[in-house]
Amino acid sequence: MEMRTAFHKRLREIQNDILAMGSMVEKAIMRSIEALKNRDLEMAHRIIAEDQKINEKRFDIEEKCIQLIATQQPMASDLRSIICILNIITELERIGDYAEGIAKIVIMIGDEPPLKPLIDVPRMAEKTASMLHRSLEAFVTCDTETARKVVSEDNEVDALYDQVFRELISFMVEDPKTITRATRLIWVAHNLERSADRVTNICERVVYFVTGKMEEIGASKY
Amino acid sequence: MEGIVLALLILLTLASISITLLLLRRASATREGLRALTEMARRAVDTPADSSARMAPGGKVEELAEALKLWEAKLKSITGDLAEEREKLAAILSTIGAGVLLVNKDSEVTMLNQTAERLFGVSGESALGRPFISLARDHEMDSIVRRCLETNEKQVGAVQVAGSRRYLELAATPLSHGALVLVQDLTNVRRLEKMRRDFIGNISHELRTPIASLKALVETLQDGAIADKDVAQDFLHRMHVETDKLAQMASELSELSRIESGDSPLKLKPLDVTEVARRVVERLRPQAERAQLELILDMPANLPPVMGDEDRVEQVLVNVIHNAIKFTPPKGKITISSLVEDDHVLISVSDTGIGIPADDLPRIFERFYKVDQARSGGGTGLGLAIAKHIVQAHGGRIWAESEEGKGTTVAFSLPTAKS
Repeated sequence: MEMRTAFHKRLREIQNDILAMGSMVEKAIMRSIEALKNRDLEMAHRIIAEDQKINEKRFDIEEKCIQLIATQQPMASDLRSIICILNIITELERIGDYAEGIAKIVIMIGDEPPLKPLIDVPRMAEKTASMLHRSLEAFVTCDTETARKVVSEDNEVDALYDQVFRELISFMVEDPKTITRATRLIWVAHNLERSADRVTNICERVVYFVTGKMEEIGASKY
Repeated sequence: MEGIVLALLILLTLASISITLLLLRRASATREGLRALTEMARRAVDTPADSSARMAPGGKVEELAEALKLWEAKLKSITGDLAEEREKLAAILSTIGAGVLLVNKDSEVTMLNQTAERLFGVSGESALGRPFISLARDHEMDSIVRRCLETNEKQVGAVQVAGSRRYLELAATPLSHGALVLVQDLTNVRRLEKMRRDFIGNISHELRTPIASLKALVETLQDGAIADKDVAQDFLHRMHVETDKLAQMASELSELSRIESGDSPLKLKPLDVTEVARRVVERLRPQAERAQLELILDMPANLPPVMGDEDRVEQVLVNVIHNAIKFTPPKGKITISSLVEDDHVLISVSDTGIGIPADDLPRIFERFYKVDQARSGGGTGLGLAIAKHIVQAHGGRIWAESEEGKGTTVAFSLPTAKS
């Protein structure tokens, strides 16, 4: 009994760490787009520096998980939850890298004049951040319904990506001088699209952790 | 809680009485013990031993019972006071504008008030016992609370909430078994601060432009241009235009502050707003034609009269339409239409202009606010701010809808005159 309580206390601490890491990644996404909108190079540099902290957090959680496996030898659903955590932090770390990638693009763009007002790209970011937020809520509350719903919302991000892609291609066709700037914006949109896909992976892990069944929920377009 | 205390107390009382009785029956030598117990009970309620008025006539046992009764009464009043204090505290916590939370050493929430529930979007029952991070879902806020628990020192910090425009300020104060966390919503304060900063920045920009050109004109005149009569004439004319601009800005600013402070009362009377609009459209038509724009008045003649100050309502229409003319490219259209809604008449001015980004939309009614700081459009930047204050003084509402590249609609409502 004592062993179990100690295990679950430690597990709960790790869950809190995941929520903190999730918040770091969520903010990195939103701030990268803020930086893009405002041509805020200082913020872009800060995002890049802070990605280091996200990576450290990931290793910190991984270390805690390994210790927990070594000292408590968890079985069945307890073991599953730790494996699930190890997968989630990998996805989170990756999404953090996508946000860092956007920050690097912001620095590349520098103070070039904007190609067009940003409308759909911020929408993609908001949607992705919101999906990420709820996927972790689903994880800590073992809520497979929310997890499945979040996966289904990936279509909306894909649709926005299509729209941004088409629009930017039309810019390039009309005026080849816009090719560099348009391509960079496509990279930004692509990073967001990938991030949302990683969120659906987290959701699949949540479903696996709760039901014990590995399944792919809804195939993404990209 | 009080129930348990009382029950325990009564049990204790009964137990001590029965023990005392037992002792009494056994031997008279226990009288010493009885006296001691009586003393103890008296001390507990601060009743002096020599208070003969409270002495029971029968003997020592009655005396003890009497003292215990007093004890019970005192405890009852203490628990009563406690309940009252708790009620007061609950009332304070539920009405206070700041979010208040208590967390234990493990950063788990043990208490939160309604404001905190609202700020974090949780309900009290489900929040209790949960870790603070799972409520706040923000690592920066969590680290403020954690630092407080670790260092046992007060920690303060402002945080922009993930995924929103909200700013919260947290103050975590260490307690013996955890921490008290105070959360304040700074979103509005931040917005006002920004408005004030922008206002000062804008007004100095607006003043600097005409003053700079006046200075340049004066200096050129001083450097000898005054000798050339034609040039001097031209310069004086341009100086006149610049001083007019400054004078207009000064008078509009003071007018705005008059309307805002309510110092110039409205002269309200039933008004045919279609007639007012027709007059304004005729007045602005030459200007619209110069800009190659079509002005369309699409308002029925039989609108219910509104309750308004004629000059002021006319000014609102002039300002809004004038603004539309400024930001609509040639060959565009500006349509003024109306709609009757319950006890209000809605008047809208739609243009086919450049549109306004969604982020700027709520701010265009601020003094000197400009969507594109680089282009000035030639006005004082006060038109829409004045329009807003006039409409609000009438008990109406003004707002804007826009799609970038497609156009903007500014609409306002005025109350209909009660017949």
